Amino acid sequence: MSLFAVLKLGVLASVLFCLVVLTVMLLQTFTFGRRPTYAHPQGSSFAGIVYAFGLGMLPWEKESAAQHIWTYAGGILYHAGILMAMLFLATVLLRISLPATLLQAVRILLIIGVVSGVALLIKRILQPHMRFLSGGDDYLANVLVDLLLLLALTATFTETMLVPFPVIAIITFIYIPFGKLRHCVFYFYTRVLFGVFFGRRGVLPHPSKKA
Amino acid sequence: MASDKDPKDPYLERIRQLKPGQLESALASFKRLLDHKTVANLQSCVNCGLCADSCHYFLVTGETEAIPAYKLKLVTSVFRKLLSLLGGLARGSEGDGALDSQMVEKWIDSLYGRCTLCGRCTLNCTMGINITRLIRIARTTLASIDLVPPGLQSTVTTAVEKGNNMGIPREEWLDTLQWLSEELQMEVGDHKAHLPVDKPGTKLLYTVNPREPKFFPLSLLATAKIFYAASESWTVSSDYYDVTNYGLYSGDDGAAGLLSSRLRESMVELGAKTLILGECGHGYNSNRWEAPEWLVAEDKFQVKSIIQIIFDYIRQGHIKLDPSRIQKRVTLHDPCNLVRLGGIIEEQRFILRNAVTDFVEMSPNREKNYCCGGGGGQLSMTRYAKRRLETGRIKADQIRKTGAKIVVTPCHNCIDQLSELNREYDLKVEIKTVSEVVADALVIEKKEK
Ligand code: SF4
Ligand code: SF4
Repeated sequence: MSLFAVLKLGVLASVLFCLVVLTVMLLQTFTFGRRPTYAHPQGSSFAGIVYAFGLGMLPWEKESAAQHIWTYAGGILYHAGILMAMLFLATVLLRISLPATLLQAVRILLIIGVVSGVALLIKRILQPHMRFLSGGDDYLANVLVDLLLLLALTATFTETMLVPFPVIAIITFIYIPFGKLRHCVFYFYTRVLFGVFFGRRGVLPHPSKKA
Repeated sequence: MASDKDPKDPYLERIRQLKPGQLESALASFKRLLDHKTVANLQSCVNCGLCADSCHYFLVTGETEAIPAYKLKLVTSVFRKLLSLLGGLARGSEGDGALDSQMVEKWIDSLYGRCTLCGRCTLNCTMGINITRLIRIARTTLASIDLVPPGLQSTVTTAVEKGNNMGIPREEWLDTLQWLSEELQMEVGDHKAHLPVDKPGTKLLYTVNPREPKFFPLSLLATAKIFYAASESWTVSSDYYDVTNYGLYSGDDGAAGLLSSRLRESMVELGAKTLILGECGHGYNSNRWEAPEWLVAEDKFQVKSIIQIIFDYIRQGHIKLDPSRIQKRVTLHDPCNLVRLGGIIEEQRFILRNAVTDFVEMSPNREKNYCCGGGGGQLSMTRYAKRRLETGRIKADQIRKTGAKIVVTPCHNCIDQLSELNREYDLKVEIKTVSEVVADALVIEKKEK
């Protein structure tokens, strides 16, 4: 079996592992029981969920984003870079060669992603309250993902980097469920809960036209 | 530290001498309180730190123990340590997650002593984690081993034992209602006007904050005047009329459920159609939103805030207001439990726009408003009074910036805190309930005989 085939299998196995553990974790939450809600709703849970994934993500809707607009922008770009790295990984494993212009776009997003990730790491190190909050997982997760983006970027330039890139991807996929990177799944869970909570209480979306 | 570092503080002593059995019992309670929602929330923090600036405690003091994410971590670490097979990977400054007396001390200091359960961090969390809910679960855990801070506990105990949180005897309540009826008759010039007690089959059963009959009866008189002007069918109960529920703050679900169930019993006994919650933020959240969960039952009647009722009166033309009577600039403080956690957001604004000539908003306002600092049971926990007044600076600054001479808020607890802030920060403002302002602007028309 070629090294490439081994890596391909490795990535597939790590993705599978990641998905299985995350699914178990999600299902595990339900082992703690589901409590029905008894209070009569005032607003709509559905509208709340739509808000949570739509308007509610925009910086002018959320003070924490508006007051930290660079962190917010960095976070968005970081995640755009990660998504790009994942898509690029798929093209590498499936041996799909990208047209030059598309490859350029991939590179730009990856560069922006790495810069954002490193900037967020520096912020974490420099700000006293962020240092206080941070544990090993916060640094490890950031470094791991930064490396993933960096190696993806180098892999867009030279074939010799086509080995380290899948290797770091395998490590990342295996690590995801064990640290905060699990938010790739739990984010959607908590945002739904957030939408339901504020939606049924009639707090969000803004009922400013109610009166 | 849990208190002002008095080594002889018996509360502190109790924490330090916790027995392993008590800690195990606390942990068992903690486990019982978890459900799929709380567990999902406990798994989701990414430590981005963006919630820090949403908390008035952190904004004012800059103390790391005040950061919502830290408070959350205190709870999460215990969860991870004990319940998750994947534990240990996300340890940080909060300790190793064992629920020992040191952790209990941290929980008490941060989760009772530096939190008003205002919900602002929840609204601002990147992930949408209900941090406030998780902090309350930790309070419930502490309540299960009798570790509610003494002042807060005694408020709950008084309410449970005496029927209202100020321990007002029934006769005193009835006497107050009697003389308020006489006042009302004089004010409206109608000898039939009165505050009805235990009247069966009315449309509304009205509940009040006991601080009204005890210290601010004119506030209750103001509401009675509005009901009179609207020719409302209403009553109060002679037994259970206390809208407050400090069980929400102490975390004691048993006591909280009992207090809320009493109002429901009065509804059934008197056969009223709608339970009306007086101007009390946490009373609204407790009785409108949380009580059905504590009691594990849907309400068979409507539960509304008096603010919604006054709003309807104005909109439907049941009462007439003359805003020219209130010329001073007025601003509005949004109680967290009524607005951000309760969903009563625009009604009070509509009322004030109709009742006064110069209404200005604070910034930020509505669901984004800052807590006054008096919620979460802080007003009853004297050991944290210094922090409470210190963190109220944000609210004081907000008020000052509006240039208002009258601060209106539909919550008696907020009024207590705002009154203290008024003195502490020399704001020189009057502080009023919505009913008081509406009563001042009310045009009473002679009733036809
Ligand atoms: S904003 Fe939410 S996800 Fe970010 S640190 Fe605070 S609690 Fe955690
Ligand atoms: S609920 Fe309010 S007081 Fe408590 S941590 Fe969150 S923002 Fe701070």
